[in-house]
Amino acid sequence: MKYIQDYINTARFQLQDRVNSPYRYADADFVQGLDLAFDEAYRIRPDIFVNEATPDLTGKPLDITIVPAPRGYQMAFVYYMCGYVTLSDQEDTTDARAGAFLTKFISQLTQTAS
Amino acid sequence: MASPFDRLMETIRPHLPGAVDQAIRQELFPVCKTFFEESNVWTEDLDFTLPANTVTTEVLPYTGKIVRLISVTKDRAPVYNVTMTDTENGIIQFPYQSTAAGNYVCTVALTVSDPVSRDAFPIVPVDLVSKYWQTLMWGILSNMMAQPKKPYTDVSLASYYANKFNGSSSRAMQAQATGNTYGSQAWRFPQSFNNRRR
Repeated sequence: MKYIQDYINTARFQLQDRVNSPYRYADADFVQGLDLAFDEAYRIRPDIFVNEATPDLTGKPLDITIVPAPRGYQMAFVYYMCGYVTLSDQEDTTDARAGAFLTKFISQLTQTAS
Repeated sequence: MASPFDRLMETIRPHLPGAVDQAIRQELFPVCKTFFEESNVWTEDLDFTLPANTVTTEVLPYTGKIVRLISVTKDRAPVYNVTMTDTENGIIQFPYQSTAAGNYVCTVALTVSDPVSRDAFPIVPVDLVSKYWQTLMWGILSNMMAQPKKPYTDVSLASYYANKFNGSSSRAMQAQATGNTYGSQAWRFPQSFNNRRR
């Protein structure tokens, strides 16, 4: 995974949202989740951002903008995107799944084997 | 061009799962600073002139920052009771003034200083990194593992590596003091009689 679009595609696969008629979650929502994932990661793991600015990905072209996620942590950012958009659902049944995604994000940032 | 720290970085990564390179490089600076401050292994000879009728002058190393003054010589003869009153600005103070200017050589111990190189490594002589990379690695491991709530946090291992770092720093200091010789005379004349330390 390299570009914003790669992250969105991976998140859509996790959420089974790959049929565009239209998509269940908009691209802009995923990008917003990705932006917030960096901010959350900064709070939990400030060492990842030593000499690195937190990126601003909102409004950038999806297929050419590189996501500066550190090596080994790409899936953590995808999990946060999934959890962020799933939380917006009104159905109570998705709350547990959203919580699982967000917990997975935190555990991947703080534990080696997670 | 390969950095002198390449071997250190390649070796340290498996010890710190989840750590990113820039965080490791960030810890490299304080570890180098502590190591060179304590060991005196990074030294440089600086030529300078003491102007007539003055007791202070200024020296500036080519790279690094001065930690302490090791010695001062004039025509290869030691000059006693010279002090460094300001290591930040390299101010050397003589106990006397002369009516004529004199040329001297001082040896100073150095440590790392800002700025760092373009790839964020501290600027250190290559041969010192080659010789002491393991010591520096132990220091970094200790500092990194002592950080709270990281995948690589391990307080007991941090203590273990701190002991290895401190022991190796002490051995480096001792080796430097004895001129890298084996079995040198350990006995020293009682230091209360050392004129140079007063």
